[in-house]
Amino acid sequence: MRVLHRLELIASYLLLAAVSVLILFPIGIIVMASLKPSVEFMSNPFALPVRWTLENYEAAWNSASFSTYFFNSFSITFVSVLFTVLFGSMAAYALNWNFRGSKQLFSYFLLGMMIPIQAKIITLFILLKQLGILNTHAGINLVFVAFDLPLAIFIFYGFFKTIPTDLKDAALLDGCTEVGTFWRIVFPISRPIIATVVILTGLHVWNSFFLPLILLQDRRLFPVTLGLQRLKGEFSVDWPLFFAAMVMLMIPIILLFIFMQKQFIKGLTSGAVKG
Amino acid sequence: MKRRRLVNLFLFLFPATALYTLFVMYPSLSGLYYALTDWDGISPSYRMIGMDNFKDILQDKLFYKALQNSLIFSIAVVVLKNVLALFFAIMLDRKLRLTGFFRSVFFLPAILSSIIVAYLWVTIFNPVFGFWQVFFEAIGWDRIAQWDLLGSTSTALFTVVFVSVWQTMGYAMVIYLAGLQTIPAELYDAGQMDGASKWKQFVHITFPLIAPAITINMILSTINAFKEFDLVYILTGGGPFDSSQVIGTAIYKVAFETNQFGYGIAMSLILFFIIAVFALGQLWYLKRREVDY
Repeated sequence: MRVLHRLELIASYLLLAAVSVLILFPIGIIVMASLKPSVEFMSNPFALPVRWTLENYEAAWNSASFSTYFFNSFSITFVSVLFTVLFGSMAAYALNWNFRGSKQLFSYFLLGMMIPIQAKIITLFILLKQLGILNTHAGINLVFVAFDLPLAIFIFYGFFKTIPTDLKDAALLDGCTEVGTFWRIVFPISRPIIATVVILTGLHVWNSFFLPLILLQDRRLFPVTLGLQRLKGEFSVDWPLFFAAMVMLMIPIILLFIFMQKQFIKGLTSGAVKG
Repeated sequence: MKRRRLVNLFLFLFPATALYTLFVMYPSLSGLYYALTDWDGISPSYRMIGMDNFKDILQDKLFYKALQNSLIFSIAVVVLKNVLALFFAIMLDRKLRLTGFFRSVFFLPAILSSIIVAYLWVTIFNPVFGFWQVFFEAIGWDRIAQWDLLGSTSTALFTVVFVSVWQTMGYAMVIYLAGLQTIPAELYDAGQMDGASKWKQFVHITFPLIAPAITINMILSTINAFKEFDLVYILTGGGPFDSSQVIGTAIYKVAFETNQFGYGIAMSLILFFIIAVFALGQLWYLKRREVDY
């Protein structure tokens, strides 16, 4: 019996290790290949670099304009997340006042989560064109905020419901206004849930490809994801440079993940587990 | 005082409601109108053509191919992903060394952009220098080394299935793990005392009690599989010869590559309908199962 148990344990570890390799290996290979000169990659794509170099990163950053794409990704992510958190928490807070029609309004917001992106993207394209904000950061920011609001409201709503009303009432009695209570009492104690929403929407926006593909046409406005795809679309792509650009897109996320695993996993699954 | 509260209510609700209505609900609803037109998205005028778009879709070979592929893709991904995720969740729901490490590694692909995931595998499967080729040549399996997994009609779709499972399995696993942790250990102890085998314990204790996690995972993965665009678009572009074309990419093709906006919108409404039927059907079936226990 004990021997059997041991064997099972060894088999489990072997299997888990094999899957881990299957997951980490492709990522590792790209990181390694991004650190060797182009000539070396062509002659021996998957060996360890003979000469380690950062020249691919330099080239991607400067000549392939990834500095611009990077800045764009940061800017779009920052602005969209900021307003999703702000507007989402405000709406969820007010929805908790249980006024007439609050339940209906809440359902109205949830409806948006069920409509697949393909069913609104074409008309959205037309709408942005009519409003004159197609191919602008303002336009795509507005769309990201609108798209991420339902989930943010859903998560904030669930959390605000758990705040004891006494706390709010006490603040109101002390002469705090409704707005003041929200800013000074509710917002500060909501930090963990804000972190959840920031991770969820931030990751969604940073990683997004389909929306920028449809809504942005000017290269100078591209985020990294779209920049990558265009770089690949050009004939005779310089592979190590391309890998360097890929690493630049994923490394910030992987580093954040390593340091904040719990928050990441909780954040990404919170919509699912509570739903 | 009452008036003040009304003003506050408006202030708090207005930004979210306005943005959401304008950029989510309005585009969704106006699609119902544009689906009845022959608009190309560019010219200022268009005609109402009634249900013609829908009639044409039902005659459209591309649509049937895409629908068939979407069904195969979704079923394959949902089944494979959930079986593997549940299997590994049970394996990692023990107090062993390194389980935390394995959980994090398995979850890792879920935080990467689909674009990154797709390009990782484009590189591995590249027929000229891909690792696949290098590896199998090195161990002397030349025939397998020559397989162009993303570039041949017989394997393209299933290669995308593999990549999709690779990307999302860990996410489903974490949801199963959360479900498993809600099962009291006493139940297993009682099962063991009664002499129930591991398999019996799984069938009679684990499986019924993680029903909520199964419901969530099945529905989420079905919806996401039917919507899939990024992976297919980057990995195969729907090719070769539409062999991996799914509805998500077909809509993009007709709307933004051939400028048939009205037609594309009509197709997207059909996609919405299909997703709704599958999701609600599963919800109905799985929820009923949850109540039974």
